[in-house]
Amino acid sequence: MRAEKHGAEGGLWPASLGWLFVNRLQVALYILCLPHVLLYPYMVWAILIVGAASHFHLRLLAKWLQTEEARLGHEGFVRLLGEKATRVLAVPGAIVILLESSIVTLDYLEITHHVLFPSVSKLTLLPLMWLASCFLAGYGMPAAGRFVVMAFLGSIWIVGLFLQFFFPPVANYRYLLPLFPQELHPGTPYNLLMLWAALSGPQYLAFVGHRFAPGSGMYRWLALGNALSVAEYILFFLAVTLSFGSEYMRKLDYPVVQLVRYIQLPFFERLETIVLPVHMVLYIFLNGFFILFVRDALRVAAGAARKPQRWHWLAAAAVLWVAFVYVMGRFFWATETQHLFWIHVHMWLAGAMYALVPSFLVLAAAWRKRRSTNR
Amino acid sequence: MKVVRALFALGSALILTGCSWLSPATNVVEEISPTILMYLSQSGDSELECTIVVPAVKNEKKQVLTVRGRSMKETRLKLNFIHNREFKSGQMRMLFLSEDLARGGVIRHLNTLLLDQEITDRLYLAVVRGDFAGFLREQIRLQKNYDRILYKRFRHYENQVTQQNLHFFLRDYYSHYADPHLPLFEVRDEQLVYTGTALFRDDRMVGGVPEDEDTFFQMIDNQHGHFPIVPFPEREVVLGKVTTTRKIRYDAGRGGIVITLRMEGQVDEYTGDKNLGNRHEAEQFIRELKEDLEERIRELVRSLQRMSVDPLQAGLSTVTPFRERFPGEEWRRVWPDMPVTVRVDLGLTNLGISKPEE
Repeated sequence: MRAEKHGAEGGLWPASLGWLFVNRLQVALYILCLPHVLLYPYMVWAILIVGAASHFHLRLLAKWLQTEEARLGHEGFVRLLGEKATRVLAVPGAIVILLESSIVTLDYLEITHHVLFPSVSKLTLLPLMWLASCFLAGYGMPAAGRFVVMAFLGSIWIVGLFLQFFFPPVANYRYLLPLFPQELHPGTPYNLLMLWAALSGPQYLAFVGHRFAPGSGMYRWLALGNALSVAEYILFFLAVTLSFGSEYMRKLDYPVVQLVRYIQLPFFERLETIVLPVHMVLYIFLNGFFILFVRDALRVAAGAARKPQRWHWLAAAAVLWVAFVYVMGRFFWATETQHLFWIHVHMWLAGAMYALVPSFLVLAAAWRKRRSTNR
Repeated sequence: MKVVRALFALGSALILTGCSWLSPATNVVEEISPTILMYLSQSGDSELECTIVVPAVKNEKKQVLTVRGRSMKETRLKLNFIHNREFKSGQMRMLFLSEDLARGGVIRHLNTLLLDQEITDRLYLAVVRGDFAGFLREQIRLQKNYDRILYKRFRHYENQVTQQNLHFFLRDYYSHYADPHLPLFEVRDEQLVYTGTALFRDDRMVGGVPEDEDTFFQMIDNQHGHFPIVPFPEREVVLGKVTTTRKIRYDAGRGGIVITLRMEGQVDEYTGDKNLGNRHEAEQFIRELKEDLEERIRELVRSLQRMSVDPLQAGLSTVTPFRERFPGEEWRRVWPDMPVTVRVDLGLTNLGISKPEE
């Protein structure tokens, strides 16, 4: 296939692409709704604490990416877990990816529906996103992965818009007080979990280890991406707290979007009409990326991983993806309660995956190494 | 091949930007009426009266329409029924509330504005006294662009008169340590007169700062202020080019609020008997003026305390990084009896005489 050939020419990803991957995968869902969850000014410390935990957790991921098994791709997993287990595990893996990517997509569609197109169904934009993602996925993994640069450039500039909210008269620094809580409010463990989920996403890189060019220093790049996400979260959280105060913030569904709507440039207002659609680049990247994951999972599950690549698998993955999102959005995401339920599901699922996948793989690799040296 | 691609891109751009085949809400400019001004007042017991200025398309005349309903959105629907074009609130910039309505509580009307994504948070809010609907009708007849002129008036003033938008109103409303305030206008002899600041407790208007005191209210309400003219009729002096900086802090030892106002300006006009060229007399004059100012501001804060409202957000100064001294509703309880110290630092750069005598 033309696209695959094109991808092969693209070659391997340099390790320096790692920070973009980590950063964009992490911020996907929560960048628009996180401050609403955090509620209290002192939660800024929670972002730092969980950020630090994630920082050390990435060391595991980096360690896994350095192992020989990760470098081998599918063969490595077979070596680690055995042929049968790999095939069986590919099925729940595909389901998890489908679930996470539909929740992220539908959440984005929900926001655009709420803010920009309240009179049409929220699924109206889905075909457009689907076509764009398929187009991207058609270029194959190496090229789709490189698209993360575009996703990054397309959405990072929004941070610059928020700098004005750090200055009076909109910002009132006294809203940040008290910065140290006298007593923690009962929802704190829940918030920490939410933050952990907000920093999840890099676990997907565990399956594309063979796409990265070999070499050391991977961990530094991953940690840089993580630090950038933490900085972004803190910046958004502070901007929202300074301009709304924590009591008013709690009343708003999407305080970040609300704040974007407040921006008034001398020549342009209603910036949300630009900011939200431009954000779609990020989601197109994610979905293209995830469709390729689903394709590979399907091939592994069907036992066709060693056969030459054919376009049928990509078509099947793309159709499966859009069917999944459509059914979920149409039938299981109709009300606000269901919305909250899915956000909850995402929180547990993404959090658990982020904690388990790298540690499991590192343990498995270590165990196998010990067994082979003992023999 | 390149040509085909370019045509395809152009074609899809055209189809997608139109989007009207997707959406039942069409926004052809000639078919809608985006109003920029709305006036809400109470009529009867719980009926709401909504007045808007209908923008003109081409050679039409501007009109002022009034309808009644139970809720704000219901009035919007009724407006659609009586008018040829559909109303859109995407361009709404000013919302005037009648004093009766403001005294009865406004949050149930403002809530819908917050929910409506069409309406910007920069919507200016104001309370108006008198027959504003009649006044509007008259003015639109006289000056076609009166709604725009009003909007420019709001845009122009900052830190000189009270000027609040939806964002600030709601932020103060939800905060434990602040009470909202809005500008108060009065329709007086066919003129719209700024008559000070309307003060709210929760969402109900409970009183106002009279126009004579309003400048001093602005001085302590804004962290930085600039006032071209500050008259003191009883001292026969007018200060000009006044800039102010105010600080509010909580004195934990004495358990009171300290308001410090640094004020700089010059004497623009003096009609009194003192010889300001004389150093002694000038010093005495400045001292008296300073004491006068302190007394006025003290009295102003006392009147706020009597109404039990804190539009200055003085309560926020009691919060430290480690604790809230008066959490929740506590501040509302202690504020009326809180001792307040006012200090004014008056620096007059020019006493109105080009060269003082030695």
